[in-house]
Amino acid sequence: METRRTGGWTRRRFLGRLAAVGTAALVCPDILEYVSPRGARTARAMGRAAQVDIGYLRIGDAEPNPRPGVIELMLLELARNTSVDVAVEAVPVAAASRELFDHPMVFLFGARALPPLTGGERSNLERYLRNGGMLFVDDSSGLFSSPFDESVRRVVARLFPGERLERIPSTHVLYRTFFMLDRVAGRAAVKGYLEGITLGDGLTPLIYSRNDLAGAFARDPLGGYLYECVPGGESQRVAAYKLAINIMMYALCLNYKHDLTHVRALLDKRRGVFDE
Amino acid sequence: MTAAGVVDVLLRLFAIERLEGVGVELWFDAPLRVPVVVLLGLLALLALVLPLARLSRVSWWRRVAIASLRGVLVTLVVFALLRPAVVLMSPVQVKEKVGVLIDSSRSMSIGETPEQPSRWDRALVALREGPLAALASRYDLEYYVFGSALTRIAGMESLDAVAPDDPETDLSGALEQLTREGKDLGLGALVVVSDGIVRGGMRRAWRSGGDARLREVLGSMDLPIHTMAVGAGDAFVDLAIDDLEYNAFAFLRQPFEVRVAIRATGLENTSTVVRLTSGGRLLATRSVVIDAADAEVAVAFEVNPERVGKFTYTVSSPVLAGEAVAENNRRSFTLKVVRDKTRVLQVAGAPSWDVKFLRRLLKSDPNIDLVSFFILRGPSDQSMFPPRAYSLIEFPYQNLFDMNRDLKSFDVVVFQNFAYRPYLREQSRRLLGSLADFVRQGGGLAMLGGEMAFAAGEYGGTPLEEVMPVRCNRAPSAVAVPVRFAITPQGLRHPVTVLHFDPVENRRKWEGLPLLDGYNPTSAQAGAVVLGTVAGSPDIPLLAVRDVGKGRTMALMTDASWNWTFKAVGEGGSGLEYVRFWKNALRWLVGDPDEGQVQVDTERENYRLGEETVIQLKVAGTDYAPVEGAHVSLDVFLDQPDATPVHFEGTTGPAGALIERFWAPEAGAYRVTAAVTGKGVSRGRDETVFTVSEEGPEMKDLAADGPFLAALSRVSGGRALGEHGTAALRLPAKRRSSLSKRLVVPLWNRWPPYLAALALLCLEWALRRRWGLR
Repeated sequence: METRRTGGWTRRRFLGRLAAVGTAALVCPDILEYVSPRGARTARAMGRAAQVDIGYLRIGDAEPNPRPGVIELMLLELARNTSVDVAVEAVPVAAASRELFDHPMVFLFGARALPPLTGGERSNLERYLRNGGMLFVDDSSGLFSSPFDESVRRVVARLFPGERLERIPSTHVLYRTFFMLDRVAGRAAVKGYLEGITLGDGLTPLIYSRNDLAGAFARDPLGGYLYECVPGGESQRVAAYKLAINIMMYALCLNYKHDLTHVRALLDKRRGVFDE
Repeated sequence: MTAAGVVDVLLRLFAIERLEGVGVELWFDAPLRVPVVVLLGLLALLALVLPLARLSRVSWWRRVAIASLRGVLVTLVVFALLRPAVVLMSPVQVKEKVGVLIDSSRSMSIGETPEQPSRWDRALVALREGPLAALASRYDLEYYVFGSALTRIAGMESLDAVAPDDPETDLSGALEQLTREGKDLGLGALVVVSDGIVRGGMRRAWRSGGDARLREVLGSMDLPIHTMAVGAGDAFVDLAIDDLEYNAFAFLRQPFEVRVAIRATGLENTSTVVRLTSGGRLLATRSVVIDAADAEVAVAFEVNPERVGKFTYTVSSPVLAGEAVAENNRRSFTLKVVRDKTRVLQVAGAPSWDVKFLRRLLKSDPNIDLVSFFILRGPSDQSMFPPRAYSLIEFPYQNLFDMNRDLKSFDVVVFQNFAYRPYLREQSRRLLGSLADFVRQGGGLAMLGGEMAFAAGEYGGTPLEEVMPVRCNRAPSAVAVPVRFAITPQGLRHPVTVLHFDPVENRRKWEGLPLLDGYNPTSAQAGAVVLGTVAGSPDIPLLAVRDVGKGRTMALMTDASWNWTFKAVGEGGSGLEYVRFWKNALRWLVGDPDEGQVQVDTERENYRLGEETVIQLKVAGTDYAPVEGAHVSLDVFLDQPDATPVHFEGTTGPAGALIERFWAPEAGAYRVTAAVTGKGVSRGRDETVFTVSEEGPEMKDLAADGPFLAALSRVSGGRALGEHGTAALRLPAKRRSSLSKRLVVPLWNRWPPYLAALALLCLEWALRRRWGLR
């Protein structure tokens, strides 16, 4: 369930917002800079193909992106924390389109039910996911049972007959692609884990969050957060930021952090401190 | 009258002299059986006599006279038909026949010390001047030499033409052969002259089971075997590399073991050193302590091959004082080192889609062992959490790029949009130089484009630029304009860019690939082969390769090659062109021996002395098409200083191939070098190695084994003879000869019987006419 704050600027509300932003700044000082993209790195790559962007997946006449601007914020967060060169834009791409393959990573947010996949959408999306594309699906409803969730499972069943969304274990490389994570987070806390489809090559091209990860990023025009993170508050938001970065890094680096070299070094790290 | 009386009558009748002691026998040489001839004579007699009984007008005594004449006549004819002869037999003095078997194996060519004559020479002395010399006057000797086979020789003089170089000592086979043929040959005994180093089961049986077991092995051999052990009893000093054990091949960078068995004789309380070398380079040494007079010592070496190909390894030990044989202190073998997996180091300046898709491809290939290092966070990226919150590790560039550390463990290094300067810092020149050395020493290096690569990565003027196919001297350093990859004529046949064996189809495949979003302008270096350019700008290379020393480099001036897979799939393609391109590139970069333009090789790595070595050579041009008519100069030589090469010249055939045959004159490690000149051959040299070793175990365990030969004579009923002394020998022999001289004197072909028959015939005719008979 969303806890949207609307209405004018009362004294109580102003003080509350000030406290929230202040707390966030203490935990994550640079979050303040994400209000605007001024701090984002200037694009340096040789053309669009060299820059990392994220498309927004459109299936049929599904509802418009319920979290507009969030993908851009996520990309900014990625750019601020990592060496990844990003293109700060989220281009809507239709599931059946050739343009889907211009964006190796696409996100899909929603609270309402998705329409059934057409044949063209199904085959195109399946080829996309089996050939290196990645889809992150986020249930924005924050409900334990939502029409969106039911429709996502139908879509997955059609995409991968015989497969179903499985819990992504805590040993999955997703939880250490950039940050060492020991929990999943979002605006809500519907499920304490992510789900996904893992193919025969061991890669997970489809990741599904029930916790409205995008909601933790959503801001109003003044830079304030649109939603509270419940029940964990700002520490939950920080965890959501980290998870989003890890998901994007997983799309870029795959199981890189499962290489033996890294596993050994990370074990060593528990005895000392290294930096990359 | 007895038969002897008849014979005496005949001898007198035919005036044949009979000497004292000469036996006589009557013998018929009739064309028909004797009873048949007698029967025919009786029938003829009846036919001639019976009609006379009916002639009543002739007086009885006249008929009797005629019948008698006819009877005598028939008897004479029967006598002639029986073709009688007398056989005069006189006994002859015959020597007993003895077979002398002389060991002609290689172990007979050595002396007990370097100063002493060889065992072979000692055997010849024993045969010609020693205790065996007098045998010829007492026995009828038949000479044989044996090694891997038994060969009869004409006489002792023929031994001068025999060289003790047989690679085996098969005494069992020789004895079996003589047992089979012994009765026909009439042999009564055998004399075996040998050092007793018999390689067959006979000696092993005696060692394990004593005389009883040896008797079983001899089986049906019923001839007494007299033996002379040459060299036995003298002090023998030798150290031999008895045996080498190693795998048929080895994997690159995976240690393999060489187990060495050493036999030391007469060297008790001595220590020595065993060395393992390869290509003149000392790899390892082991100290060996010998504590017994006849000792077997085992040592092991571990070798970690660092390059793919064929390599000769030599195990040797210094020749100690008094050693009888120096050559068995050294043994070589050639081993083929193959690649188990291609070890690829992928270093990326930042995660990107290009990085992701290359990693995805390399990681999916079971033949590639991938180590990736991506710079996930640069110096300018913010760090708002304590280090333990990150799953980041230190970038171990000092180990990765140092030839003395990890770098040599990789086959290929891929720099993907990687700027060295922020990370290598003050060591950059040394580490880039190390990377250049890595290439020159056989490694592969690929640099992929991006805003941090080539000129943008400040590689211009660095040691790494010296080995790259392109110079980083163009501005701007990066161009963000979509371009199409245009394959060059060289690219149509080059193994890196062959997506289809048909050049036309290959070109079509390249032209059908999605556009690239940008590129790094560079210029090709001398010696580089440009495989692809920016379409419409043939002077701007997009893909270039280069041979540098023993290694190879490749430059792909874009970071959008992932378009060739993911976007190609989106456009309805398979994306397999990207897979094929990268697999081609890695195969070429690792520079496996079978990827060279000139390839010289032998069928095997190890040969035995006397075997034919077939040397195969293949020549391909820069476009990897077979080159016919290329001139080939081939040298085969012992891989040691001042070796004289055997030289071959020839030209390649239609398949770009040439085959030469070589017989090694001696054992050792050989090297083959091939130099090829011809149109389109840019890298016209190659070489290979092979080893030729002594056949079989003949030069191992060289101490003469007198006790074994003594046991052999003891078990067979013979005598063990000493090597020295000149006393005439009397050898027990099984068979004595009973031959005698026979003289056959025919009686039937003499004229008196025929004259008598003619006279009787005439008389019978005359009487019949006179007495009125017809």
